[in-house]
Amino acid sequence: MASVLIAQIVENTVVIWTDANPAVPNYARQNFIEIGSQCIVMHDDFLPWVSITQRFSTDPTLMALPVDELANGISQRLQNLATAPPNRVGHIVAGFTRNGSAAIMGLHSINRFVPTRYFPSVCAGLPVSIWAYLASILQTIPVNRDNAMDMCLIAGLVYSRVVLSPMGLPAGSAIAILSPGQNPYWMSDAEITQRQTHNNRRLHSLQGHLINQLQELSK
Amino acid sequence: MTLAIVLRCIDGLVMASDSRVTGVARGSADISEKFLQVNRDVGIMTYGLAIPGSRGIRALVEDVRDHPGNFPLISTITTRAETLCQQVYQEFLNQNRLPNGTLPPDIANGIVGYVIGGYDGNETARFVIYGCSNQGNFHFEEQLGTYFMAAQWHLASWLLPFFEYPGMSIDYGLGVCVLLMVLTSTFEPTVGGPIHIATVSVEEGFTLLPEGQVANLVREVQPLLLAMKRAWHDAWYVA
Repeated sequence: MASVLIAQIVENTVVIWTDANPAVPNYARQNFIEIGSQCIVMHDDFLPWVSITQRFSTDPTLMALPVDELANGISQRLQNLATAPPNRVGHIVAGFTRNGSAAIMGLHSINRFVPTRYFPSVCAGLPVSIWAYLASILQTIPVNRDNAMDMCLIAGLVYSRVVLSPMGLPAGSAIAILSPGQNPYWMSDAEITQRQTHNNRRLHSLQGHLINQLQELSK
Repeated sequence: MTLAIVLRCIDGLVMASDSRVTGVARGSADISEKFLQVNRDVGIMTYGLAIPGSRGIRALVEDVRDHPGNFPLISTITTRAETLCQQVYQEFLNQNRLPNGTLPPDIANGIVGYVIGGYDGNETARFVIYGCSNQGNFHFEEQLGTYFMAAQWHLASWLLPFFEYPGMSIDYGLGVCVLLMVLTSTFEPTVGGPIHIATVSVEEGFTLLPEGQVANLVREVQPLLLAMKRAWHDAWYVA
């Protein structure tokens, strides 16, 4: 199951993070389907849904569509399926509109897969309050593509520690970047490890900085 | 959904719950009854499905009020609560069965749980926390950690260690509890409305804070919220 995913638009690219199990090669790619420079990512109870959604990646009528029309096309196909969806399954369709703007669309079974557009970011799957809090703090830091990746990785570290690992769900991170006209770029495991080390230091130092702040308050 | 928190402090317990109910005709309303006093030293909170949850805590409170002599110990309260919670849940399921005998998915998959906190003065002289849910057939289990959270606990569970410290007092715990409730209700749409918060101490037993005092606490934690944001910025740039 895909437990949680985050998509952010920054500098007209889409940075997508999803949890990944280091013990299972290409785990994250099971729920990440590429359609040219665009993609579909699934979350919640996605496993029964993989084979159905994977057909879309080879559907010639979908492949040429901009992201908003792609989301509509997928929505129609999902609504017309004879197979009932699982109780909860969701999709994020990320890519570029006809005029080249990055966009994120969400489709979910609880809403009959009617597309909803999100900007500048969306978190889906497990309880989203952790991302919502982090985004409210960190999106006040000037956001560039580099920061956006770190924000995702920090969220990944927190989700892994607080939610995923205690529940016995896969931990780890996978990050892809969508740029107009290019195939999705997957960050290497080595770069993820290096960045996670740096972001772990940030999380560790947060407590020290907070204590300093609280001491200032008590003066 | 709800956020239910119990913090174990050096001099007692802090118990808190929000008041939002979701899935009603207008989407949500901040009128839910999730938190009641059981006797001098004990309180009960509910989370999850609002109707059986509310009926369960009310049934327990009425039973203890009508037969106080039957409940000298917290263990007698949790035993009775287990039976009552099972009964009201079963009645609720029966009332909502479809003609073919099945349940609507939101009820079939729904969770309802209870948290009891209090001072066990007649038996162990300890502050105790018990939790249960329909997933465990309402069997109350004692929670031995420094805190217990239920339902939408994720953000609060992550942030609590930044603010708590060993040996913290009820007075400090009240601020921490309010801070966690404020943050969660800001970012989790199923949590919100007036915060219901109570303390349990040896001297004063279960004491529900008046609305004005809760409002003061919400004002008092504003610098803490800002301090957290400053700390994030410091950590981001300095590390």
